[in-house]
Amino acid sequence: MNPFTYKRATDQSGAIREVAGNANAKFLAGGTNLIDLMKMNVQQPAELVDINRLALKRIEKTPTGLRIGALASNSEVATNALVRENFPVLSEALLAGASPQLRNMATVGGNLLQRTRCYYFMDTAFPCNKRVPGSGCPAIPGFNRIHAILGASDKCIAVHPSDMAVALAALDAVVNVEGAAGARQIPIIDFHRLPGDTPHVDTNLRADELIVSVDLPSSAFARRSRYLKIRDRAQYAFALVSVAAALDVQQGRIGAARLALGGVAHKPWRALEAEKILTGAQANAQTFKAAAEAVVKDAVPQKHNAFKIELARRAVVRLLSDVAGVMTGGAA
Amino acid sequence: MSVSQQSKTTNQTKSVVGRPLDRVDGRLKVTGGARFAAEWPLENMAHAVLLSSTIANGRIKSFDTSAAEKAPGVLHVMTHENAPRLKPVFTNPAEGDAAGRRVPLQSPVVYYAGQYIAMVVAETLEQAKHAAELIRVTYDEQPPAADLDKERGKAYVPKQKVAGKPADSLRGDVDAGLRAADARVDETYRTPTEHHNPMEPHATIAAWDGDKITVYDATQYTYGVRHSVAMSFGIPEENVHVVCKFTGGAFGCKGTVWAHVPLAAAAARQVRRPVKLVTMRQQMFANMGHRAETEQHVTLGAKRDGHLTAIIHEGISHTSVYDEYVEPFSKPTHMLYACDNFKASQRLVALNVGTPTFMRAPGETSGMFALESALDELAYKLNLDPIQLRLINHADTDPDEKLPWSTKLLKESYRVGAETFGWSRRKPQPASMREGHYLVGMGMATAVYPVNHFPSSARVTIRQDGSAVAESSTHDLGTGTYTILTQIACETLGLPIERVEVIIGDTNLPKAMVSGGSSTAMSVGTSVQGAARAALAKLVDAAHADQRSPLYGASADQIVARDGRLALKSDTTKSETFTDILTRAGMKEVEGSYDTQFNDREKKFSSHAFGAHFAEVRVDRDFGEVRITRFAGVFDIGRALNMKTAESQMRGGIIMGLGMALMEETVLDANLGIIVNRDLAEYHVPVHADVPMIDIVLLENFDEPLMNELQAVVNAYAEVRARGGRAALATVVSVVGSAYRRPGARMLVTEDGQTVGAISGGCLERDAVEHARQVITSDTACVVEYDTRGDEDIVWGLGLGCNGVVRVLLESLHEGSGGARALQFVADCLRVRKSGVIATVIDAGRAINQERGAADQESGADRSTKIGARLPFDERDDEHASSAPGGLFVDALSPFDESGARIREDARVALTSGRAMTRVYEAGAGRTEIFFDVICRPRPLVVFGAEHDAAPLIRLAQTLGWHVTVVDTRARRATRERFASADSVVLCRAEDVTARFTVTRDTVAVVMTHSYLDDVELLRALLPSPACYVGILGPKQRTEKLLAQARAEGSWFTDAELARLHSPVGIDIGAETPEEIALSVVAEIKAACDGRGAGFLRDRNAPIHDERAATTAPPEFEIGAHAAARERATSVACGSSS
Ligand SMILES: Cc1cc2nc3c(=O)[nH]c(=O)nc-3n(C[C@H](O)[C@H](O)[C@H](O)COP(=O)(O)OP(=O)(O)OC[C@H]3O[C@@H](n4cnc5c(N)ncnc54)[C@H](O)[C@@H]3O)c2cc1C
Repeated sequence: MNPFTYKRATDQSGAIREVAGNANAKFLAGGTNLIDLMKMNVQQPAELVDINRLALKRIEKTPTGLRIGALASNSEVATNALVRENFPVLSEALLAGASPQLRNMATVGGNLLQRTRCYYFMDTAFPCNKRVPGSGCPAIPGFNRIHAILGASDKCIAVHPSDMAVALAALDAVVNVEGAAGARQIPIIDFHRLPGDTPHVDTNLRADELIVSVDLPSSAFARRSRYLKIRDRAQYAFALVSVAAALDVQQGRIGAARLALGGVAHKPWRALEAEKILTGAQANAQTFKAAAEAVVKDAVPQKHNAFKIELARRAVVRLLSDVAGVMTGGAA
Repeated sequence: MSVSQQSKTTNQTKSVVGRPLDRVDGRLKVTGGARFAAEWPLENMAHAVLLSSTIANGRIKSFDTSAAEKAPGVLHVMTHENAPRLKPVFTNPAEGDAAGRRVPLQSPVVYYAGQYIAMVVAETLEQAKHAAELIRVTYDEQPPAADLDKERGKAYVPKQKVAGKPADSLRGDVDAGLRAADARVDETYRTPTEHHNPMEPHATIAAWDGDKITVYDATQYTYGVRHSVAMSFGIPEENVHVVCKFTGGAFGCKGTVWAHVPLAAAAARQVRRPVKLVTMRQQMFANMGHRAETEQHVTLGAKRDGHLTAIIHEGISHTSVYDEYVEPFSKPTHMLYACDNFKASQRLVALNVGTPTFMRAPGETSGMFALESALDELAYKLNLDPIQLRLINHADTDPDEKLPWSTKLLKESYRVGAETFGWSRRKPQPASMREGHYLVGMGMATAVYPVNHFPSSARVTIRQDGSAVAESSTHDLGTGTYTILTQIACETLGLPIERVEVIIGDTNLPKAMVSGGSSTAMSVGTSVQGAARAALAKLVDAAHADQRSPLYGASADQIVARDGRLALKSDTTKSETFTDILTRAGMKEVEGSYDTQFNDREKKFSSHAFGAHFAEVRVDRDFGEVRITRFAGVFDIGRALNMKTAESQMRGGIIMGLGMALMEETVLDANLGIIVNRDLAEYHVPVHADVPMIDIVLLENFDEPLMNELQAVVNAYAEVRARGGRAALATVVSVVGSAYRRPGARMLVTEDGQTVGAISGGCLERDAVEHARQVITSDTACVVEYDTRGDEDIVWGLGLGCNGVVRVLLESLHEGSGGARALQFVADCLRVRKSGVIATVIDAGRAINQERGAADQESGADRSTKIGARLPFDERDDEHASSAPGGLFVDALSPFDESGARIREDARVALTSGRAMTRVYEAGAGRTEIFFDVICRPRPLVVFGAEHDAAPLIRLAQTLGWHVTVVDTRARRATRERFASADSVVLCRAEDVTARFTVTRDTVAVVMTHSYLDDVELLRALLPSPACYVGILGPKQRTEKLLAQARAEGSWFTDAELARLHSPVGIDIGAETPEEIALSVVAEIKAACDGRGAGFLRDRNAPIHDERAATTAPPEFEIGAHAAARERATSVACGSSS
């Protein structure tokens, strides 16, 4: 726990200016991740700029869909009627995450930017390339049951822990951000990064950029979307594997498909190959199995997480079958 | 109005123990008023933060503390380089374990990751934390031993015992057992390291005053903290004052004094200010012990019918490199199942981790998982139901300690559990039960935990204002200690809840031991009760001595305490308040103290709580996710002092068990030796969504204490026989004058002098054992006479109320001997709950007094009268058909004409009267004395309903010697206190009655619940049962309605069943009051069961005695004093049949 200064921002541009002016400043939203990490000395910002007074809580209809303010709480989004009706996968993903108390505090912006729960990152007794670049990755030779099977590097095998972000990935969400250099839009699929040689950089967001809102485009498949999360206990646990699926099925044929996975990679894993297999195919067990194969085609297991590959396969088949309303005999 | 209020209070104060009273500290807890260790607001308090090692093995090369020392607010930085020398704390297990052998901050050696290596004291917590992070440490790092698998080659034999047993234990011959087996199970089981994770972190506030110190600590053992702190600092124990008013969970990790406690004290001494030290959750994973990882191997051998022929339980667990703790997983296996061939073996593997410690049910938790899993494997192999397999191997006595059980309702637990849970719906074929994506499984396991108790003291003060306070240094870990002690004090003192205050958690109070091992309720509860009685006795003395008191001259046993008053039992209008008594006596208060001591050296019983768990589990067949969907636990834990807190304990234990089985696991990085999941986000304990509905049934008072001793003797002999040992039986055959035990009392003596049962209050046993060993050696029988009258009282009587002549038959037991046959007969009687009589030859004046044994008899060489020859008769008034014929016995009497017939008649008399007796048969010069011993089955009366009108009925039935059970169908628990004299008081929902009770042909049921719905349920259950009599209170029309309702709900009664229904209950004697109604009901039961009309005898045109009694031949040839006995017996027989 380092000494730090605390400022409460009253307007958006003031907040951005404050953070832009101090390389060691951070925005503070719900604080459920940042404060924890500060207490454990994992992060040491010198300044916190509290953005909770900014008018970024609204959830509103737009001509193309829905806009969700960055400070809308995870609970508000999960229970919002428009969200539940048009983007059920988002509501389900949020409700599958954390606990009611945490969801009341946690915000959309903070959720997108939450750090990995990799044990080795969370404890300063360990070296960690993400925390201290170049110090090494003890997870690779160590205990890596919760780690990545897709897109990892020899520098980092951590996974992104967010459930919400997996749903957003399946919904083609767009993140609206604003920094000292102005506003821009980042498609969700480009928001988070793979670790490569720079695992300490989680996202493509610049340090002075504030997440303002998230746009969700309406679609037929978004309305028919679900989330499936497999975890070690019934609630209040991060995903071992999770799947967000959205399908538009007409007379047994899949018109459009979106598929994303959580708990498997350094970012929400959009399964584009699998989507290609699904699109235009018959909604049946065979199709879903083929899609599942495509998802894990390039998967690389670690010592303790090989199970995730089979689990991901089965989870994909189960969820696609559920969304399509098709009975399958199970993947086993 | 006032009267009814009064009686309401009376009921409350009288039955307060056992009530599901809400926690008396509940309000404090939910409003934040309960002050935990870290919450004491001391002036000028500084804060300490500990720095933990980031390596698991090696030495500290250097510290750079300069930045930390300069940081704002820092008062002191302590490392091993400047720490005061602390003395090692040697601990006596009886005093509770303490800091372990490693003293903190005394050397540069690092034994495990997370070990404290430095401490910063600062003005605020944040400043201390920040400064601690500024300390730079360099290490000389060694690869740690962090992987049980890699280190297993270095496994060693523990230096200490394993739960009191040698690390290698052997009983019988396991190899022979395995050779004799038809089926065999060989399985390896692993359990992970687990952490206690109480909600409240460990926390200590230390405040010195010169050489004295006050320590506020989160602990399970205030006196243990006192002891350790005194030792560490080399100061007298009296200088250490420890306070702990509330403990926020512990599960064992606060039973030990860990390093942060002396460190907080050292810090406070250094900065000369009070210091608060709260450990971080992450630090709790390294420094406060844990349940060690185990790898267990279980081998079972069994016969095709399920009988175990061998049990082997062996394996390893880890300890630290600097200290030793053995997770005693083989502990329950020693005693749980009956098996002659048993072997246990435990080894330790040292790892670079903190020392493990006891965690909730140490040994049972890990060991039962392995043993019970192996048993299930065996059941599957043998195609037996898992419950059946456990029943087959039920241990009737403790196979390890060779003692009878104090109580054991394990079979009952299986049965009630199976019914509560719906075990019959289980399909044994794997994967045969499915639901959607789920495979559904049902499983069960036995539960066991020993009864532990520790000496403890308490003080109770009754104050002039009519309130009282009970004090002890014990603890409330969230378990409900405050509440149950309040209940015990209230009940004993006859005060309402709000007038009793309980003060605990302070070493200025009378000493209590560690609140661990489920010992507190029993140990401290007993002390509080004793202290309350002592205080009350002083109050009684004051009243007794005071002429102005309405109780003047009354003795303690004539007085009751209730509603804040002392009253005369015989006339409760003669009473006065505590306040009046104390005020007049000029006393501000009276105080009583009590030290509870437990004598474990002369242990007569093996005491354990037993139970059975039942779970329904769903496994997602694709994902392997396991979820528990239903759970039932049935337990025999003795008396629950508070049904609510007791059930909470059971439920909490089950939830912790679910956590252990499905999710809890502490993972150590095998390369670095650092725990990776050291917080509650990644160390998964069950959340609400993981916990199904849990049905808890506490079996209370199913025990029948009198039967127990007899059963114990029978069981103990079976045991001796099974292992080919030898034993003698001592039976009291006559008593003239007063004695502690009556004729028929039995004691089994083994060749090594072990005894089961008793023949006196303790004064005759020693000598009897000597004689018994002689008869074992000579294989003979003899009668020994003890005269405890007059001067010899000093030798024998010991003031235990023995003042008479007691004759004891001592006989060597072996296959076919009279004593063995008798025990077999007793066993049969007990098993089927029937009555019987055993005729035993105890004197044969014609021949010499001590005869040779049965070998000669069988050879026919010696046909003379034999001491110890037996002839059993069962209820049918017949010679016991199933056992050996009475031939030898009759032969023994061959000089007497028609002796067989006479003996049979006398046996019948004894049976009818239910009394043991002695009879002499003479012919010519020959004289034979026979002792008739009765194994009596009392008439079982079950009264449903616990309103006050039940009380006179119960009293009257008991006067007649019936066995009375009161079933409370409505209150949260049985109102035991109001029915203290009942043999058994049970809480049971009306619809569960058939599940909870075995109703036999002689069961008499009286329904008086005053609840329409309950009565319907009871009628539905009882009418089709074999009960011989079902009476129901209330007018005929009501009963008609009840029956109509029962039929509407699908019941159908035969005429025979309806014929057993008595409604309105009772015979026509014009009964009005509850007492009169009781008389009428009891008379009706008696008449109905004996097939009599209940009219006036003068109108009877037949002999008064029924046929059986009437055929009893008049005594012809008794002599001497024994005639009187016969007469008494006969008159009782008359009385009971009129
Ligand atoms: C015990 C526990 C269990 C959990 N389980 C789950 C789970 O199962 N699934 C799951 O998805 N999550 C889970 N979480 C994580 C939780 O969802 C996140 O902590 C939360 O969403 C973070 O939101 P916040 O508003 O509190 O962020 P903060 O902690 O305030 O901020 C997090 C980061 O985001 C930055 N930030 C915040 N808002 C903005 C903004 N508008 N613009 C730019 N930067 C911003 C902050 O500077 C900081 O770096 C769990 C958390 C805990 C503690």
